[in-house]
Amino acid sequence: MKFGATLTVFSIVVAVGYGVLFSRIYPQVEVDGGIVALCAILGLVTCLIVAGLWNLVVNR
Amino acid sequence: MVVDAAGRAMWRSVAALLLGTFVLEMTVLEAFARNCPPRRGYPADWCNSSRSVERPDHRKRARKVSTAGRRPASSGEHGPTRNLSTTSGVKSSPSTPHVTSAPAKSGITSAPSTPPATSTPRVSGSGNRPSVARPPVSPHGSGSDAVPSVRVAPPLTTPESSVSSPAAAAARLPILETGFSTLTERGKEAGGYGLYSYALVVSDSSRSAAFLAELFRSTPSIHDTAASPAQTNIFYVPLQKDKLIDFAAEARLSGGDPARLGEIVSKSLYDHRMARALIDQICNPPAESMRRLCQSDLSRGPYIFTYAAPATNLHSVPPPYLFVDLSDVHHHAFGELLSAFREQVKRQDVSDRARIDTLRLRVLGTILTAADWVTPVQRAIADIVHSAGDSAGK
Repeated sequence: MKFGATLTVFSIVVAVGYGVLFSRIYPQVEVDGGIVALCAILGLVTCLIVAGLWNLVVNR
Repeated sequence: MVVDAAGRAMWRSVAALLLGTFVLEMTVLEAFARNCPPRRGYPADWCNSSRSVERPDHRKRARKVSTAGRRPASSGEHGPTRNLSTTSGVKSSPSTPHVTSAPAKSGITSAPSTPPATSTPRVSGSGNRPSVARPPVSPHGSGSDAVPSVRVAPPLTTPESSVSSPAAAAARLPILETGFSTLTERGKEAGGYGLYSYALVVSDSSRSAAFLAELFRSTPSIHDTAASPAQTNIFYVPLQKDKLIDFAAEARLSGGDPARLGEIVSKSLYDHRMARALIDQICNPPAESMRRLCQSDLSRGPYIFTYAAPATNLHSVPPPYLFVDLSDVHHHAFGELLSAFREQVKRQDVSDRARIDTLRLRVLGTILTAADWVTPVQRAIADIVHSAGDSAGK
């Protein structure tokens, strides 16, 4: 449960970061639902990769 | 104990690796945001290295070189006209006026049947050279004898040759602004403009409407531009001959809604026939770079075409020119692409596509396509959650 909550929080933070980065890089492009969903997925994937690497390092 | 220390060291190195990757990613993305093309060296210096000629120390060095009568290093690919003019001055300063007359000659010859092209209205600052005499890229060859023919398309000049050409550097004034205007008849373009661009939409579609809407949103009217015509890129939107009044009325009615104006123009006011005719002219015969495109369907678009002279009344349009195919561009990326196009026409070599074919825009296309794929999945998940919630409630 603790892992899930941490993952969710960090995923949201990273997803927001991705969204902000996208809107900065492409200021003329409208950020619609598709972009938001993509950022959310990428945020979750990023956090899962980091968590996997973390576990790999700690359990080794 | 040893294992703990080793584990800690490994953890530190992984953390440092992740941090380094993150910083590198940020600098790369920042460089993309500033539209700096990737080159050798650290990403944070990508933008700096392109402007190295503008730095004071480099300027001093360039001045010294020019005094010594040597050709400076060709690092000013993105440099302003001033630098390129300096280059031409270095090459042969006394003969510069004679050299600059070379493209004027070729430009006039390339569009002999264009009365507005040969006239020189409102261009007083640059001598008696007509605007068509300032090609966006170099004339073909460096000598004044290299006169392109209208019928036979000469080979497309390379960016290097055009940038290094003193005639092109000295002759062409930099483009400062882009403004849109309407074109209701072929060959009725206003003379004296620095560049002539055409928004080519071959059929009415949602993409065409989105493109025109983005054009009307991001580009001011030619009457609202402040730069002199010789330094303005006029962006023509072909309209049906009798629809000019309708366009004015619709523009007034739609007010701050370019989407509506774009839709109406694409549907009922745009002259698709004129757009197709201009594409036919470009493909008759096609330049080497256009051969593949001309052999394709050409029914998608939209396209942007930029030329140094009015092009609608030419039988065949000889290169060099800039032709941007937006067929595979996501409609949400039209704004970014039009922005890149406006940057491109400000470059010394308009046809080199340095601002169009960038990794940044390619990444945008991939992101938008991925977003299109995600949206149905997102909806499906929302539907599943919704239906699951409903069934649980019952």
